[in-house]
Amino acid sequence: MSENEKKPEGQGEQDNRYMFFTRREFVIGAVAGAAVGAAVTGVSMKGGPATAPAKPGAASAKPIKVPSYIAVDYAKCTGCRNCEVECALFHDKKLDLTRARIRTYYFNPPVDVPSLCAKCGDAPCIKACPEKVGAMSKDKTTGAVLVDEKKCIACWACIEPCAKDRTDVIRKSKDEKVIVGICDLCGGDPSCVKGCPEGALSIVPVYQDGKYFAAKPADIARAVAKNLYKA
Amino acid sequence: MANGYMGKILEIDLTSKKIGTIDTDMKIAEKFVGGRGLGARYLWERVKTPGLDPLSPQNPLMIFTGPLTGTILPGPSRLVVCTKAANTSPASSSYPKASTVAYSCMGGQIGPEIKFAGYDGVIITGKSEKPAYIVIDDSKVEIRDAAKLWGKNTNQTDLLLSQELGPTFRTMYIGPAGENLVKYAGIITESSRAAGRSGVGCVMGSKNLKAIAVRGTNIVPVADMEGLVALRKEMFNALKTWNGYDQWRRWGTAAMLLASSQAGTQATKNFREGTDLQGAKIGAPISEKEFWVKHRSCFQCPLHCMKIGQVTSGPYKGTIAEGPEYETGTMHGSNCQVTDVAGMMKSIELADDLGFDSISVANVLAFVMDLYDKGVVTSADLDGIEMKWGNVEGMIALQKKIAYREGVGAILAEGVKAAAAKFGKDADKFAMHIKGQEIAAWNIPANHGFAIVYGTSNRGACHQVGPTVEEQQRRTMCDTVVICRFLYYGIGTALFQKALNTVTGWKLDDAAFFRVADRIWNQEKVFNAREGFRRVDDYVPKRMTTDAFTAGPKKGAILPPDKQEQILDEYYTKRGWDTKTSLPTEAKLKELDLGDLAPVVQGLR
Repeated sequence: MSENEKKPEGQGEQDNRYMFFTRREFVIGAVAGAAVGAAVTGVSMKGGPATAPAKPGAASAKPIKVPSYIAVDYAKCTGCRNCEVECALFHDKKLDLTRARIRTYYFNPPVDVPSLCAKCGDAPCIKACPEKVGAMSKDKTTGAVLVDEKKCIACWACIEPCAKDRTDVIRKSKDEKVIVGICDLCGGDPSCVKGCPEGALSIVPVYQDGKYFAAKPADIARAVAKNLYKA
Repeated sequence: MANGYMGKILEIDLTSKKIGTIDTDMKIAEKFVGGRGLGARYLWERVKTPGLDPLSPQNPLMIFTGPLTGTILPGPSRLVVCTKAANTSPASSSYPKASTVAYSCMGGQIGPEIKFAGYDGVIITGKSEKPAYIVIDDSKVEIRDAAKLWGKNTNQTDLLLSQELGPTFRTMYIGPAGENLVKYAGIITESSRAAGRSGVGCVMGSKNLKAIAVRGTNIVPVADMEGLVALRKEMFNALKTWNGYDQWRRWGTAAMLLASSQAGTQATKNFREGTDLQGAKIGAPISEKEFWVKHRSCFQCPLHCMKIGQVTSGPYKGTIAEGPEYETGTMHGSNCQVTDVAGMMKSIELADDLGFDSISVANVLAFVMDLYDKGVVTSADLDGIEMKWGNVEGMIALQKKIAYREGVGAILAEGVKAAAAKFGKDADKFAMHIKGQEIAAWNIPANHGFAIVYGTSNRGACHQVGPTVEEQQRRTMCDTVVICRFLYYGIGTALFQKALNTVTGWKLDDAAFFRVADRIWNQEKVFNAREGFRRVDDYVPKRMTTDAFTAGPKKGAILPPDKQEQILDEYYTKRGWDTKTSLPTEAKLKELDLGDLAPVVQGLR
């Protein structure tokens, strides 16, 4: 699937093309106004404790063949951060969580929010990367944003558009030599999805013509808390 | 830098506002390993004078991690808060402020974060002139003014810190109970996890320290990373094949509410009974249906034993509390004869929100209800509150009074032992404590092993230390390396021992591993002995040896006085201690490389 140039604003879930997502019970999708950058994130139905415990490791991800992102069932996430460790081990072979491309945050009232790249179709990060640098590209198969660390000149141009009204996952590496935080979908078989003991992470195809799932952890937490704690 | 250790301990003096680091003393670390072990030794080295007032600026508040903390294994999420306890006291001593060692473990995310920030521990001394909080961002450490946090409940503090610093910081804090020096105040993290016991929140409050926030970017050095990755898989698999795995995940410790009640070991009616005849109302299946919203895990743990519950209807609608889990469900439930489960949730929520040790404060409430029931105190003594069994509104009102030390709250804030002395009459017969620390949710008469568990614990009544010397060694190692005891229940200590060697590069065999535990226990014991604690302080409350259970499957259960003597004799002998005084023998101390303690103990004989 090629990158779609269209950027429909306020694409509604009633649109047939998006029914795929609404049928999934865990994500309604996020629609963001360009000015406010406030995302309304739909979350799963209450269901964690009542469901039978997931069998960790049982999930065997099929290699990703279409542009996809990793959808989070926030009601199932317990905040154990196994995903972070699996990510760090896969990419760096050591426990450098500062480089993990998924990070889980706690909010009050108790909500755990794994935060990772939303694979925005319009990829403002790639657009921000200076043309002559060209350190970022989109994987034509998985849709993931790939970062060539050798080309990155640490100009931080990509950080701002992501922080402004997307997920805010892009950050400086500890040595400030390269950007870190962008999920590469492990080349098509994400280790966080396989390693989640709760089955809270799923691989879901993502359309390429909008920034539908990008939201910052605090905004997600607010929406999830409202959904989980109804009283 | 030694593998498994960050090599540095952060040291902060709140009086002079001096911030610095000291090297982790590897000579001590090789003998005492981490967590509770480092706490025991550092406390001994820093508190040279017996009888030090635990609320004085000189008492160090120490937070220690272990070599496994912050590694990729399941369960290394914990830290241990070590200090001289605020809430314990011996039967008699020449020191008016005598108290035991304190160690209080806490899960969540902040333990690993301290290591990621580059420290094996944090030692806080002195007393801030004004309320303060500490922000640790790797090597950048600041003491900040806590004026806007002081007086706030723990949930509000949690929110304010998160708003100010962002969710990348992990925080621990005290509530009004700690600020107002309630002896059994705890330290809270993530709204409802606690280093609850031993009054560590009271010590923190005495330093005018409201909160600690930590963020780190370092990596815990590991001797054999490949080996550790393999071990991680092995441990996760071992947990999955444990037959308790699914139950722990689903119900956590709440699964024990009904089981314990049936076994006659559930604290009921201020420990008068072992079976709650109302128990069916407070079991895990009902809690799951009525309240539970989600599970929560500590760092890397697949057991997610924490359940967050919400009350969705009735007068307590909107209450969000952890649990009930076994301890809170029993202490705020059956032990206070509460049948209104939603009300019980409110009481649990409030205990965390005000920053109490939930176990102790609920024990205090049951103590008051028992006194009221028997007419030892009346509502006139309780500022007009009718503390009938199960009166949730009374429990709520009294908790608030205690947290702010208002009226009778000032008396109850001292714990059941001191409150009983103040009330006079027969009140001490109702005070269910050992060494001044309130007994937790497992009752003793139908399971005499608990007389050893609670009686011999070095921090006063504590349900977690184990009923035999061997079990105590294993659990001491859990608090030392530091891992959660619940994973140990599933897969034992062997894999964690292997993990310790894999992480540190050491080659500790079984004997050496458990000798560390024995050494720690004896170090703590000598500290307590110097304060004046002896055999007489290891007895269960007298009522448990005189009044049998009157109902339930274990009707008639009692701990006969001669049995109490017998099990203590056996225990001390096994420990290599003098049975008359309970003091460790010189031979035992030398065997454990604690020869330097021998002259001290000699002086106590």
